[in-house]
This record gives sequence, structure tokens and C-alpha cells, in this order.
Amino acid sequence: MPTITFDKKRLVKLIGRSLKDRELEEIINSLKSNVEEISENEIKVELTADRSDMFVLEGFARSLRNFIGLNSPEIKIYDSKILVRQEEVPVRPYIACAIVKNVELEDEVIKGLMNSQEILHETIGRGRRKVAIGLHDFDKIEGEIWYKGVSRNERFIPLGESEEMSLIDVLAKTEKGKKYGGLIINANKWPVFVDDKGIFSFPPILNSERTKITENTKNIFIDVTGTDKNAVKQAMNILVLMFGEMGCKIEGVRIKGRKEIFTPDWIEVPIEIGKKKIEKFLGERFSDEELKNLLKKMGYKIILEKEKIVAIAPPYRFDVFSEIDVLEDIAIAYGYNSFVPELPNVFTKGELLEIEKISDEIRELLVGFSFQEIVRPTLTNEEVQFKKMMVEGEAIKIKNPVSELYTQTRIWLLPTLMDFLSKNTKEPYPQRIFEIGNVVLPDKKSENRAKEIRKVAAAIAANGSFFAEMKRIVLEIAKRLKVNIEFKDDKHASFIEGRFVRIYSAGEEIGFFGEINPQVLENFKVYIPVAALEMKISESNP
Amino acid sequence: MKKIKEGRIEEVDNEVLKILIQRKLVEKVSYSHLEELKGKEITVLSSDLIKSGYWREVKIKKYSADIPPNEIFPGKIHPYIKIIKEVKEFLIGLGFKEVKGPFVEINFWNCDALFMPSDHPAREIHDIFFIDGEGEVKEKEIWKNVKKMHEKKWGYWDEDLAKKLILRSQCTAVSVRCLAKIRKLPVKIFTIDRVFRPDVVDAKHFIEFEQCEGIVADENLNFKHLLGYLKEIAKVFGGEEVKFKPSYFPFTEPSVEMYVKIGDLGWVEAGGAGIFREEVTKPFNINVPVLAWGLGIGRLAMLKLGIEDIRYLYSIDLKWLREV
Repeated sequence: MPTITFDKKRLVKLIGRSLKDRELEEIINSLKSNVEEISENEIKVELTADRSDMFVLEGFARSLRNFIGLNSPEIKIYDSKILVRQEEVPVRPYIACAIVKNVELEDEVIKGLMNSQEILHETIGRGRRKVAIGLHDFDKIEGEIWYKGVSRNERFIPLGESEEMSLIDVLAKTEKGKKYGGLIINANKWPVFVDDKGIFSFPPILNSERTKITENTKNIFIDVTGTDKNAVKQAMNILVLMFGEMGCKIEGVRIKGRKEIFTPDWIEVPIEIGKKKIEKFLGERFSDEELKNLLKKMGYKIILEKEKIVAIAPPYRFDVFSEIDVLEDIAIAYGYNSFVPELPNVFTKGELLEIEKISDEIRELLVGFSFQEIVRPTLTNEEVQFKKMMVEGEAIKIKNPVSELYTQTRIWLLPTLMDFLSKNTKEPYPQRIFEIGNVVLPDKKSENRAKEIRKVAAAIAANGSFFAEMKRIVLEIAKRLKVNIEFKDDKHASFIEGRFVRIYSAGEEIGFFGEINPQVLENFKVYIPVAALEMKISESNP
Repeated sequence: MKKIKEGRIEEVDNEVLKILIQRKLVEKVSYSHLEELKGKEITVLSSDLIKSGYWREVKIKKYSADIPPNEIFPGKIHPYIKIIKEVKEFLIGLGFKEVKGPFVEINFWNCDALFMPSDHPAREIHDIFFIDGEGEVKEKEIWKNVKKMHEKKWGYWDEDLAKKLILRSQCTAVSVRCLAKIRKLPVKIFTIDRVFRPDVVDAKHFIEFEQCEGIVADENLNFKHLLGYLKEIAKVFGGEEVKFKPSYFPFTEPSVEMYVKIGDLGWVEAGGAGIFREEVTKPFNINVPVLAWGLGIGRLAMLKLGIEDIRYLYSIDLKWLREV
């Protein structure tokens, strides 16, 4: 969801009707986007990822203009008869080209162009990987145009430089080269556009100084290259929309590779929908006239038939490919708040999960024993979970952690409680805390290679002996779990020797309790005795 | 026994008394130590004083209301858990059944089954925690159908990426697992559970948080019903008015955002919803509309608790927990 700042004055001028800020905001918010800020000169909008045609000012204005019922000019593609010869360039196999005639490039228009180009590079282009766009002064291009892969030692004068450089030097020495060089560096042949005078474009890195756009440029040659055919087409059609809205004449180009194609691929998308389907899906009946107006508001043309309609989406709407997309646009045009919400007469019985019911019972029990509940993250780290507890173990590790505090899943709850106590040593004692939560252990046999266990852990930090009370609480929890338990003295590095007991039910260990080893207390800087218990409530697999 | 009860102990035979004491039917107590308290002022009243009747003979010291209280900390359920429980009960009242899914997910269920293309920006390492290894999707037919759908509509599908293990980044993964289990209509389910995101922790972001999501699947559901359920669910926020706004989620269309008007706060975003795209439901052989909704449970809790920092919901501050 990109956030884009538009020039408010240019926007209003393009729409063709003066609108108050409040009106603008309402229209924009009715079209999926969200207005974040409106100032005197600018308007900051969060756009949804599907409406890439609205990422550029001209496309944004067109959608708004249509929505308020004004007419938008039809954008046509003429044939320039120009031929671009395409060789195979495996690192960027897809291209589209076009020529824009009669441009008037005032300073602010050039600025807007550069801005839109960058937005398209970042969004559809995914940082120029999928798509890169080059704009050139068409009148500076001479003779035959070729797209081909060349050696890294070929030379040209890149944009902003005064000397010829080899392509490898462009990667090594220019700012853009350093930033985007990684996209092609491993390829044998690097992509370039050449004319009779040599290289004039080196996508996805830099254009040439020779063909650069200036305020005197009258005609523009567009090159779009990329690794994704659909994204290349999408970027090109948004550029066509942009220049078309500016009133320029757009000419297509033949591209002759293994096959000959014509770009831009500016084709409307017709979608048929039965009228019954519209009524069934939206729960509202619309007349032909209404449907016509609603779809026009969203930029469609429409053919009305007896039982069905054909909605024709403009060539820049890449989010429209099935019935449902048209149905949504009808709903948007009608206004979500114009529908009267309805509750269907569906009877179902609601129910809480068993594991949650038991968890709640144990929660209430522990509150009765004066424990404060805590809620902490499932993610923890090696230090807290193993080292400070003086044990070893295997957790599920995250490959891309963002903080050293959260690098793996917890496999037991007690370290969470110890960590909590260690952060509250200034707070009056006794401190009685508990948590009910999930631990996640590796489990090769499960489909997700993990095992999740719902557990409860409680701790008492206070002067005095609470071993016996812990045992009482364990017995009470067992009652709620409806299990018979047995106790067995054992050893555990986190606990004082002779003060650690394992809890068994039907031969399976389901928990333990005891008094924490003073060395562990020291590790956590908790200078008061702690008695603790941990028990399994339930196990779950996907 | 009657004589003992009436206090005529002198009239009972000594041998009989012995047997009664042995059988624990009678207890021998002596109150002679209380004798010395007669006429004196005492601080603490005892059970002996009451049983023996000596309480009549002593003076009980007066307390002052100025005494500082002991520091006793009551046990309490975590405030966030309480709110979650309220929401659960509310949803159960609306006929929704609770379900769960695993924290460690297979990418397939978190993204691919939701028709998110393999190169969707929200699938990158900035948005999802990855774990070493591959999972296994046992629902082979669904796997195949999803593969076909991606190849048909997006033109490609990264099978290896779909197998990767992750920590689930959205509870829609739970809803979509439920689609695989639908046998009988209507279905109304919900889940309130953790999701994980590699965000830098600040007042608005935590690496883990709760999401509340649900679906309704039945014949003849339409867009108005989606709004109807949303309006009903929004009531949990206690707002006076609800309004809807078009939005975009990769797996639903139409997609809706819901806002609730709450007193001085004005319009507050309460959740998002939509109707699952056919590209999502078809691979599961589901041919009826599936309404999917999500409720901003963290936001709801923060509003109710009057806090502006999400970290309090997972607070490590005992003082705050004791006071809140």
C-alpha cells in the first residue's frame, strides 16, 4: 500500500472542477484510498496495491473525474511505423516501447514525470527488478533502434556524466550503478538500447546523456524493460494513461524479435455478467440506466443486453479480470453506505473451544490463590530460555529476527516468568504471577514440523517457604484437568537439589514444581526465593 | 450426650466420658488460661474467647480508621485477557464457533491458499518470520488446485516458497484451514489468536499481537449480509454509529473497512472484511459465498484500557498490572 503525495493544484486542474478539501477527501476515501493529510499545496494519500493506475497523478485525477460524473478524454494509440529490433536478453527478456508526440515539458511537468517514474519503479517495478522505465528525447535518436545484450566493456556517456564510460564502470562508479547493478551483474550479456550512434539506454541502470529529456524535448521515446511480461505491460499502459491525460499523441511501435508485436498493448477488457448475478451478489436490484451510470463512474464502457451486461474496463485497469471485480466496482460506485445492512436468518450454535474453557478455569483458580496473570510474547532468546536457566534445549529458531530479544520460540514458560520477575525487583513483594500460554517445540513428525503445547506456569517470589503451597496448587490444577497425578523427586539444574518434583499422569510427565536454584536467581538478578510450577494443559497439532 | 450438651458434665459417669473422648465424639478443652484476661483490654479476639463466653468479661480495644492498610495484592486476570473473553462471549452469542490453528505455519496456508501471488510484497522477509525447513501439506488435492489457480491467474507459482515454514502472519491462515474442513453448511467460525510480524517494536508495533477473525459460509449470502454481520460485530466496540469504506485485501473482493463512531474519539477503525475471492474458495471446491471478517481486537483493548502504547497489552510492568 504505497503512500503518495500529489500536487493539489495540478490535481484539481486535471480533474477540471474546483473541489473543497472536504469534498476531495470524501471522493478519495470512497475509492478505496485513504487521505492521510491535506495541506494548502499537497495531498498525501495511501493507495491500495491493486489500483496501480492511481499511483500517478494523471491516473489518480482521471479516476476522481470519472467518479464525480465528468467525462474523460478517450486515449488512442496511433501507429508510428517505427520498428525496434529485439535480440534475446535473458536477464531482462520483456520490453515495450512507445513514442509520445507533442509534449510540453515545463519544469514542473518534468519533475512530475520523474516522480511518477520513481513510484512505478518502486511499486510495480519492485525496485526496478520487474520493470525499469527509460524516457528519451526521441529526436536525438538516429537510425535503427535495437534492444540487445552486449559485453560489459561497451561504452557510452551515461546521464549526468561528461566522459564515456564502460558499462562495468557505470556499475562501479555511478550512484545508480551501485544501487541497481546487482540486478544484472551476474548476467553474461547486459541489456542496452542502441541506435546508429551507439548505446542510448542501459536498463535498469541509466539513460544516456545524449538522449536526455530537457524542457526543449518535443517528442519522447519510452523504453520499458523487465523480467515480468505482465508488469512490463502494466507499467507501459500507466505511462500511456499519464501522457494521454496530458493531451499528448501516443504512437505505438513494432517490436521484432522472434515474433513481431505491437506495443503499447492497449486493449480494453470486456467482462460479461448476468443481471441476476448482480442482484444475487449485491442484494440490490439496479435498472439498466443505473448500471450504466454506476459503471461510467468507475471508468467503464457498458453494453446493455436483455439478460446480461458487458462491462468494458479501460486498458490501464489491471485489477479487473473477472466478474467479481466489476461487481465490486458497481458497489463502490453506488456507495457502501447506501446499502442497507441485513442479517441473514442463519441459525448456528456458538461455542468456545474446550482448551479455552479449561484454561479459563485454571485462570480463575490461580486468581483465587492471589496470583496476577501476565501475558508475554511467545518469542524469546537463547540467553533467557536456556543459559540463565542453566539448561540446554532445542527451540525453533527464526531466520530473519529483527531483535536479539526475540530469536526463537519458547519451549517452556518458566523463563518468561523469571524474566518478568527480573524486570520488577523494585516492586513490593510478595510477587505471585502466572501465565497461561503456548510453547512451541520442534517436532519432525508433524506436517508443520512443530508441536504446540498449552501450558500454565506460576511463580511465587517471596521470603518464606512455598514448596507445600505449590504442591497444593498443583493438586488443584490436576483436579480441573481431571487427571490423576503422581509425584516423583528428581533433579533439575534450574531448581535447588532436593526441592524439585516431577508430575506424572498415566505414566507421562505433565509438569514439575519446586524452588528455583539460587544461581538461577542470581542470573536473573532476583534476590528473593522463588517457588514455581509449570504444567501442561493440552497439546495441539494442526 | 444430652447432659454434656447442656453443661451438666458433673452428672456424667467418668468411664463413659473417657469412651466418648476416645471415639472423638466429645472434646476436652480447658479455658483456665483465659481466666487472667478477665476485666482486661485485649487487641485480638480469639475463637476460644468466643466459645468459652469469656468475651463478655474482656474489653476489646478500639481501632482507628487511620491505620495504614497492609500491602496485599489481589490476584487478577490480565485486563487484555478479560477483554478477549468478553469478545469471545459476544461472538458466541452471535452463533460463532471458536477454532484454532498453529503458530508455526506452512507458507501455503498463510499466503498461497489465500491467492497471494508468490512475489506479493507482503510475503517478503520484512513482513513474515521465516523458519528453517519445509512443511508438508497433506491435502494433496487442495495443493494441486491452488497450484493450478496460481498458474492460471498469475502465470507462475513458486512451489518451494509455498512449502517453507513460517510463523503465521495473519489469522486468515486459520480461517482458510477451516475451508478445507467444511462438510456441512452453514458454517460460522471465529478465532482470536497470535500472529507474528518482524516489526521493530514501538508504541504501534509489537512482534506478536492478537487478531480476531471469522468466516460465514452459506448459500445465498450477499454483500448486504456482509455489512449486516459487520454492523453486528461492530457493536462490541460500543459505538453509536457504523460506516463502511471500500478497501483492498488480496484474498477478498469486495473488501470493506469498518469504522465506528465512539464519543469524543470520533470515527475509529474497527476492522476489515470482505467476501473471499473465487480464486480462494474454488480450490477447496466451495461454491457458496464465504464472508470473511476481522476485528481490530488490539485497538479495541487499547481503547477500553485507555492506553496508547500496544506494548502495555504484553506488559512486563507489574506495577501497571497491579493498578490497572
